[in-house]
Amino acid sequence: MRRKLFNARKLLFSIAALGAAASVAGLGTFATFTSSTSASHTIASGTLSLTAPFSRLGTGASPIAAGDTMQRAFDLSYSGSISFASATLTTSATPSSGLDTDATDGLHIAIDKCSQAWTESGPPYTYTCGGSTSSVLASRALIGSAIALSNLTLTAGSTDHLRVTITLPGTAGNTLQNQSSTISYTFSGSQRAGTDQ
Amino acid sequence: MRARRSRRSPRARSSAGVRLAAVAGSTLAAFVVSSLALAGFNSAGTGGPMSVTTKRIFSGSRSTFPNDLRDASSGAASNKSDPLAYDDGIVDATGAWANAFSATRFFQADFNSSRPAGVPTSSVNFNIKYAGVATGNACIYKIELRRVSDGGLVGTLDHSASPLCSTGTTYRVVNEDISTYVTSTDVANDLRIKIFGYETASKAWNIEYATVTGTSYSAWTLFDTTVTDQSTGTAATTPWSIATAEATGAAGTIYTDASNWPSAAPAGTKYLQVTFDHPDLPTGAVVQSVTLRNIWRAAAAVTNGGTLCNYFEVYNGATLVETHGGTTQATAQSCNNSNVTWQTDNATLTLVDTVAEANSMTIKFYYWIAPICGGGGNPTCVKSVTDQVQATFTYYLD
Repeated sequence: MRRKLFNARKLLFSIAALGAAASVAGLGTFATFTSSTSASHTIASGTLSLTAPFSRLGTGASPIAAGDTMQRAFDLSYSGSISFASATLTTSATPSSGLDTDATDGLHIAIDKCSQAWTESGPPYTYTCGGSTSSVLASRALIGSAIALSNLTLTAGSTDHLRVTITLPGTAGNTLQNQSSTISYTFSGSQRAGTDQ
Repeated sequence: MRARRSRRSPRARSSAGVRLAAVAGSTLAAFVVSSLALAGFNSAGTGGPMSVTTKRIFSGSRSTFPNDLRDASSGAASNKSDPLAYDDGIVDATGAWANAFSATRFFQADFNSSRPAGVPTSSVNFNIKYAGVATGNACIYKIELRRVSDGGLVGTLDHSASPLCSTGTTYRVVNEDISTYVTSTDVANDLRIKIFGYETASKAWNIEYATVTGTSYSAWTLFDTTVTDQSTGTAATTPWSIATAEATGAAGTIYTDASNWPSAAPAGTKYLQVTFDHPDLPTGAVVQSVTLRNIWRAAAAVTNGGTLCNYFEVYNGATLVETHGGTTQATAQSCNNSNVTWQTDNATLTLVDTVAEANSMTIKFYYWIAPICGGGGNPTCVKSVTDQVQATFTYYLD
């Protein structure tokens, strides 16, 4: 009987030790890279930076009517040393109005990518793509959190040439007359999966 | 003191230990998985802020009718305007009221819906000028605001404690602030005002005007489309004759001019004139189009191959803006020899393209019988009948 009790305790300690070791391994993998060891090689952390070096997103429009569209181009650059695995868009409105709270008849957003820089004309701004285009975000209600974006390059050192199209649907009724919203855009990127280094 | 001993068997205690170890291990494993899932670098870039503002008034078509009508078919203009529209000496005489309030006796006006929808309103007033026709006093006991569409009550102005009475035949002007109830053009465009009253000598009232005024970016005025006089207890409904297209030709729904139109060619002094003095396009509006509809026919069949023709002129005040149709049968705006079939003329007034022109638009319709009328064997000379004159203004306001 005493032997069995001893075996159970051993099992408990073994599992706990394994868990602790796994935890430490995890921390070792994902904690900051700035810690150093006695080994002679240097381990430096990578960097991620997602910026919009060119952007018309700050150019508003007034006054617009039902059926109007606004095109605004911007570049999304991935600098640093680590590529991104994915990117999302979060939009918010302050001040807010029916233009952003009405998901059906309020403002809608779509994003397209051009394989090269968009050719701009205007204002009012319109854009043509000399290369190939792909859809980054299909038309949807403007306001959202962590909206998944697709077809982005995401590679460190590269830039995606994007065009946002904001539309006030033709179905927008009279309740959306004389409304005002100010929209902010946040593009978030997450690093690629860890690999052997 | 003796240590308390477990009553469980060693085997049971061993099993408990295993379970505890499993839980501990699972927790640690979960922590590791969480670390794998949630760790990693993130970066965010921002854009904007982008300000978006919509037009104050979206593009849309708003129709209205003229309330100012002058009949110069005889060669001398006569004022045939809507009795309730203007302070012009042309009154709407009601039936005889009771000498005290009665819930079944009222005078009701439905107003036109010429305002762009969905716009906030302010300074909205119901304006009425009225008097008794004899020695008694005309008194307003209460006023109800209702929806034309469903009759629903919007609000009540209760003066039962102190009725608003004229002094005999001396007109009383009442301007009731109804801004509390009429807060948007959606309400204004669907407005019925029902006046409960009495006359201290059980006589009729004369109503000089009954209008609704307000502001939505600019001042506007609404006129009556239809009046229901139930002062006697029995309803009598009268539309403004040229406001709507009933196509019945029934008395009260049409306007028949006073004199036969001239023969062979129009005369510069003989015309029907209407003025759209309250389209009330707001200052700064962009006029996209203006169209005019005139629905008419002959008052009697034009016999012997003749026909009744017209052309019309568009004025801004005294300034001629444009002319539609010519002075011969071949060039006329339209011709119609029937006293049954309605002729509908729709014309786009391309040169009415400013707010000032739209807000003060006078139309002169010149009629004549072609090729000739009167005399033995010739077509008969006839009057015209007008069912509707309507202008539609398409505009927006940035």
